[in-house]
Amino acid sequence: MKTNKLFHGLLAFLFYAVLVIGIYLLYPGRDNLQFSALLPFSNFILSGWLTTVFISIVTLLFSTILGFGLYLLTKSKHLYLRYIASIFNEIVFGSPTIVFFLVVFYFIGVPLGLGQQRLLVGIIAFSLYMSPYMKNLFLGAMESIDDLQLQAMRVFGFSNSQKYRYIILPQILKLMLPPLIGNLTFIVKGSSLLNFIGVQEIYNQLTSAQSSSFAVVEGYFMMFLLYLLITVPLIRLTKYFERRVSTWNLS
Amino acid sequence: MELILKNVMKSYGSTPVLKDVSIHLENKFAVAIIGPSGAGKSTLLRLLSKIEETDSGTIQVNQHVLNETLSDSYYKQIGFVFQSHTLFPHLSVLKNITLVLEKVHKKSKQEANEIALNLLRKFDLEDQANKPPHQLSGGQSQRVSIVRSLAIQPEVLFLDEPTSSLDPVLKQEVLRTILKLKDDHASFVIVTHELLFAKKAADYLIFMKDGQIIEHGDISILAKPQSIELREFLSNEFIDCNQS
Ligand SMILES: Nc1ncnc2c1ncn2[C@@H]1O[C@H](COP(=O)(O)OP(=O)(O)OP(=O)(O)O)[C@@H](O)[C@H]1O
Ligand SMILES: [Mg+2]
Repeated sequence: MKTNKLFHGLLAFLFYAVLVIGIYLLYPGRDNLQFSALLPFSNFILSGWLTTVFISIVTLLFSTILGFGLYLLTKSKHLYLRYIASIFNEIVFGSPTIVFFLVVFYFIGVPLGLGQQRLLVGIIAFSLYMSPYMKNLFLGAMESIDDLQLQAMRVFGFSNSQKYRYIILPQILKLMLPPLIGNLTFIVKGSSLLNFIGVQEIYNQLTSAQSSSFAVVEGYFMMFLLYLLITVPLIRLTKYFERRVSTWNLS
Repeated sequence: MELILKNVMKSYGSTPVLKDVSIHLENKFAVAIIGPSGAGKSTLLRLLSKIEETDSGTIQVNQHVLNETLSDSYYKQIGFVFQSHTLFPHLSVLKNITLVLEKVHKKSKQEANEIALNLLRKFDLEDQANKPPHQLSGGQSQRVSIVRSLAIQPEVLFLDEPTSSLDPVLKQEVLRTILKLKDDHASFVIVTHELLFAKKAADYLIFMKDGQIIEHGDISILAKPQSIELREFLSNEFIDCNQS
């Protein structure tokens, strides 16, 4: 069983190796490829990569909090609060990411005098954009809490905040872990669009490095690898937690 | 306990579930509600415990008049045991009991632990104290649910078919626990299909059908029912008993 896995792993690896070599041999300008041209810019690129990681983590945090707020709005007793939430949902689901970022930058960021704080505005815009997705995670996870349990909380006299703090959140956060990490992957990928409002994340930094070093194709390849370096481990982590969570309640 | 209902109505959508229910009970300790499925027994219990509100009519439980102005502190005075156990799955048995005591009833941690452990001991559940709920049997879970509701020393405990999700052996275990309540003079209202048990545990009987109270009186009316409906219901139940 073990050796079988190894063997098949090797086969898959070989497949991709052949693919890469094939593309390389077919590539017309292969003699001019010079990855070392990017070397002088490595600090510059690294800072972009770290900015991407930073944005992603902070956005995950903020959008989870905003998403929970949005969830509470959609569950509110007051109709106008529910309307506010559903209008916001429709705006986000209805607009292309990049358009949403530009609108937040020019119509919220600039009027607030944050035109120069591009990183901050970027994080705000992205957190707003992600919050309805996070709200949906809360909605989905809440379904695991059955109606009787909710009635029991009520009849014991727990206040709303106590219900969430001591009973609901501890139960659903576990369940939410895999999709949260899934959303983090989505955030990492989507953060490349923040380049359009001038946030100096990896896409932005690498395009600058490309134009200074003239290593354009190499730059794109680099970008490709640097994104995968973050996202592939995240995808694996998601799968790992998905498997864990399904057995959690039994262990 | 005192239960005073006047012209209580409740509908879900356009279906009336309780149709003009009135009753006036004083000085009762254990009230059993019986009746066919869909009679509105659970609905009545949910109204009595203010899990839901009446459409019209008034309800009074002891000195509490259940209207909009009644504060949530009513919940501190009552207990409710549901058809299946509602233990919080992420907390141990002990924590399930102490959480309510600490957070809602503002007891110290030490005091809460003491109360919980004493009760668990009394109901032969002390070995389970540190287990998570999913390691308990159905009967144990339901008994812990009862203990959890007793821990707050409710004026009235409401139980909605607490044994209906259990097999016969576990059923007896839970029924014995409820009989203990009677010995302790704790007041309770129980919806049940266990007629023999009702006879032993309750001092008062309410028979409901189609959203109405058809007959009520001292538990001895089980032996000589007045209404055709109750007579019919009892004979059907006894046929069921003989079959199972
Ligand atoms: N939340 C609800 N929404 C709509 N209809 C409901 C709801 N709860 C109960 N009903 C309806 O009200 C009627 C009475 O229900 P209730 O649960 O009070 O009956 P019951 O006497 O407890 O029956 P059972 O012995 O089966 O538990 C039923 O016809 C049921 O379908
Ligand atoms: Mg019922």
